Amino acid sequence: MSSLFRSLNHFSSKRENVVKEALINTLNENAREIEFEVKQKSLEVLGVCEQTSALCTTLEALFLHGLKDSFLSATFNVIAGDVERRPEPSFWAPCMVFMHKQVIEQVQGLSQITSETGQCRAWVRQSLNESVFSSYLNNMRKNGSALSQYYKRNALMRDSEGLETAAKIMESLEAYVQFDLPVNSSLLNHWPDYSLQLSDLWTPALKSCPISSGVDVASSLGSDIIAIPTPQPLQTNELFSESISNSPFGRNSNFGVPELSQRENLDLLIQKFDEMDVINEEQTGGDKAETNETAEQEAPSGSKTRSRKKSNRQMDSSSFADLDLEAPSLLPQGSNSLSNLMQTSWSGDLEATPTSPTEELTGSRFFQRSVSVSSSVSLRSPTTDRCSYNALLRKHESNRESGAGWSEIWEKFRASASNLNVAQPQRDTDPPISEDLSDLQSLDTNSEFELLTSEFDMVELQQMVAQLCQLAREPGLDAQGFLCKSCQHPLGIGYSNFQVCAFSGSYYCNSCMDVEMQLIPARIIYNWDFRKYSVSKRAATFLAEFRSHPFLDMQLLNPRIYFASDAMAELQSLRIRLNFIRAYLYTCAPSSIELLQNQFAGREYLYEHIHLYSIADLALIQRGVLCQQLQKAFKLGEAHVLKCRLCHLKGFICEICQSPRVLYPFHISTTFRCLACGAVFHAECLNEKQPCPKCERIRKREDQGLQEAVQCLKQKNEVA
Amino acid sequence: MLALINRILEWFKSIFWKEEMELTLVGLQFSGKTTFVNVIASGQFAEDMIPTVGFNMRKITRGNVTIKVWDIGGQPRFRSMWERYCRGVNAIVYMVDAADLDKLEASRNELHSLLDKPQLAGIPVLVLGNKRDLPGALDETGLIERMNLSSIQDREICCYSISCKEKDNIDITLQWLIQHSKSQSR
Repeated sequence: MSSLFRSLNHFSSKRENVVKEALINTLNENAREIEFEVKQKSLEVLGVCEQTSALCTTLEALFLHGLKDSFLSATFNVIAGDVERRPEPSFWAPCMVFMHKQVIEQVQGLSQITSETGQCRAWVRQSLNESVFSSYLNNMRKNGSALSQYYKRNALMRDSEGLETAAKIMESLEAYVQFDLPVNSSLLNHWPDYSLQLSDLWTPALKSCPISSGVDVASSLGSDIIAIPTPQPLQTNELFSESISNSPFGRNSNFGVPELSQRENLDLLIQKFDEMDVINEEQTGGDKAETNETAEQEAPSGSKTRSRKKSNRQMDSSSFADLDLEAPSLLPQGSNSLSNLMQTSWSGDLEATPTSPTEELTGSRFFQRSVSVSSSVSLRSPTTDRCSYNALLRKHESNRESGAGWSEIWEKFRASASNLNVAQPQRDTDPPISEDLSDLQSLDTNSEFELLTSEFDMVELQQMVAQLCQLAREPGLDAQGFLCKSCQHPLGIGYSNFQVCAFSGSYYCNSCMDVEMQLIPARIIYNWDFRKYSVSKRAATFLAEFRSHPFLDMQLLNPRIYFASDAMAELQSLRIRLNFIRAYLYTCAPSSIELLQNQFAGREYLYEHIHLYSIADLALIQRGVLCQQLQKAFKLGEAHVLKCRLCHLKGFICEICQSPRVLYPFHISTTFRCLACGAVFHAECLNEKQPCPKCERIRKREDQGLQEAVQCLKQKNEVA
Repeated sequence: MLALINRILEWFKSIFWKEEMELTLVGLQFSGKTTFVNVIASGQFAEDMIPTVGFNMRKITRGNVTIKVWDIGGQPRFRSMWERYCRGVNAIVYMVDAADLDKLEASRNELHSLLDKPQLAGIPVLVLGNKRDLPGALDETGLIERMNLSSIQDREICCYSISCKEKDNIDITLQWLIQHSKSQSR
C-alpha cells in the first residue's frame, strides 16, 4: 500500500513538473515576442495586441496552477457529478496578502469588474502597467509560507526556483517595455480557455489530449534562401530579351494601314533578300574560316595581324570539296545554344546589306565581311567566359599557339567546351566561388584564389553570399544559446551588452561589432535603403573583401527594382544600350575595343552584362557616379558608331517605311527590335502587337519546305 | 495594592491585544531603504544591495507590535507609486542619504511634493538621515535645515540621524514608531 502510494505520488509530481516547465517556457517566449515587437516598431508604450494578450494569459495560468479548490466548490462538484464543468477558480485571496490596501480598493472599485475572476485579471494588467509584477513575484517567493493555505505543495507559486526564473523574465521585460493595458473591461470577468488549459486546471472534452508547450512562431517560419546568382553568357542573353519586354519604357505608336506603293516596295524587297539567302549558302565555307579567325582573337594582341593573314591564306588554299565535307560534321557537334546563337547572327546580318541592285557585286563583298564580324560577336562572349573559367581551373594562363591552323583551333575550342561540361558538377558544388572567379578577368586570379582560402572557408563563404542576397532576420537570442555569434560570450538576460548585426541579423557582443557603419546590400536591393547600419566585424571584413566582385544579379534578386527606382531604370537603359554598342565596337578596329575598355578598367561586366552589380557599384548608384560613367562611355561609343563606315554597314534599314536612314538597336527610345529575329524598325512603324515582316518570310520558307516534303511523300505513295 | 492591580491588567492586555501597524518607506534610490528594512528585520547589514524593482513587503514583529513595511523603489519610474502606497498607513518613513549632499535638493523636493498630496494629510513622517558613519554626513540639525523640515506644520514630524552599517539609532527609530502607534490608536 505504501509503495503504491509512493509511485502514484511520484507520477503526479512528474506530471506537475512538466506543466511547470511548460509554463516557464511559454512565459519566456511571450516576453521575447514582446521585446521583438517593441524593437521592430520602436514603440515606447505597448497597448493591447496579440503579444500582450498572450503574456497576460500565461501570467494568469501561472497563478492558477496548483490552486486549491475551495471547500464549497469541491462539495458542489461532488454533488453535481459534472466533471466536465468549467471551473471558476480565483487567486484573489492569496494575492490580497501581498497587495497594499489601496491597490485592493482600487481594483475592487472598478465599475466593469463584477467577479473575482475579473478582479484577478484586472490586477494582473494593472501590475503590468505599473511595472511591479516582478515585485509581486519576488515578494511571494520570499514569503512563501503565506501561500501554503491557498496552493498545493507542488504548485508553481510555491516553487522558489520557478518563481525566481519567472521574476527575472518579468524584470527584464519591465525594464524594457512600458505597458498600457485596459483594466476596467467587462471582458475580464471570465477566464479564457487557454489559461485553464495551460495551468492544467481543466481540459476540454478530450481528456487524453496532452498539453503541449507554446510554439515559437518565429522559429517555425521557413526562411526563404534566395538562390545564389550564377550569371552565364547564354542565360544573360535570354534574360536580356526578357528585360526588354519588361522594360518600363513604353512605346505608344500607331501603325497606319500600308499604302499600295509600300506593298509593292515590300514585295521587291522580299525578292532581293531571297537572292541574299542564296549568297549566304554559297559562303558556308567562308564562315568556317572566319570562325577560325574568331578563335585567333584569344591569342596575344601582338600576333593578331599575323594570325589574320595566315587565316586568309588558308581560306584561299582550301578546296571547296573539303569544306563541304567538314560542314555537316561540325554543326551537330555544337551545343544547341551555340547553334541558336549562330542562326540568330546569320539572320540578323541580312539587314546590313544595301538594297541597290546596281551595286550587287559590292554588296555581296560587304555582306561577307558583315557575316564574319557578326559571327565573332556571338562566339566571343561565351568563348571569353569559358576560357577564363578553364584557365582558372588549370591555375595557369591558357597560352594558345599563334599561327595554328584553323581546324586545330576549332578542335581546341571543342575541347575547352567538353572540359567545361566535365567541370559542371564542381560549379554546382561551389556556386559562390565559381561565380566570383568567372568575373575576375582583370585580377591576378592565383593570388585572389589564395586570398579566398585564407580569409574565409568554403562553408562560411557560402553562408555570407547567401546572406548577402536576403534581408537580415533576427533569429532570437535563444537560437544562439544566448551567446555572441563570434566569441561565444554570454548575452541576453541580465546582460545588456549585445547588439544586432544589420547584415546577418545575429547578435554580437559590443567588442565584436565593427566601429564603422556599413551599407547593407540587401537593404539597397530590396528596400532602396542607403542608410548605414552597424555590422559585425566578420560582416565588415566580408563586405570589404568582396567589394568589387560583380555577382549581384538584379534580374535574379529583385527584377521589380527597375520599376521602383528611377535610378535603376536609367541604369538598365544605359547598360542595354552599352551592350548593343559593345557588339559594334568589338567587331571593329582594335582601337575601338580599347575605346570601351579604357572607360571601365577591370569592370567589363558593366557593358558585357545588364543586371550584374558589385557591392561598390551599389554605393555609386545613389550619388549618380555610376550613371555618369555609363553615359560618358555610351556617348563615346555612339559617336564612333555613327561616324565609322564599317559600323555603318552593320546598321539596319526599316522595312516598313523604306527610309534610307540607318537604324541602330541602341537607340532604344526611337526604335523597335523584334525579339525573335533581331530586326530593327522605327518605333512608329512597328510594335509588339504587329507581325514582323522578316519573321513572316522565315515562316513562309519553312512552310514551303514542309509542302515539298508532303508532295514527295504523296508521289512515293502513288508509286507504291 | 493598586499598583499591583494595574500591573496585572497590563499583562492581560498584552496577551490578548497585539497591535499592528503599517509603514511605507520611501526616498531616493541608493539612500538605504532596503538595507534599513533588512537591519530591523534580521539585524544583518548587507553591503551589496541591488536597486529595488517595484516594491518589497516585509512583516516585522517587535514585542507585541507587528509592523508591515512597504519598501518602495526610489527610481524615477517608481516614484508615481509613492503616494498610493502611503495612503492609509500609520507612518511614512522618508530615507535620506545624509552623506550625498548633491542629491539633497532633489530629495527635499520629492519629500515636500509627496507631503503636499491631500490624501496623505495628517500622517506622521519620520525622516531618517542614513550613512552618518561616512565623513561629511549631516547631523540632525543640518538635515532639518537642508530638508526644510521646519516648514511642515500640518503633521507630526521627527528627524533622526542613523547608520545602518553601524546600527546607530536603529532602536530609537523603532521606539518612536511604536510610541507613535500607541498615540495614533489612542
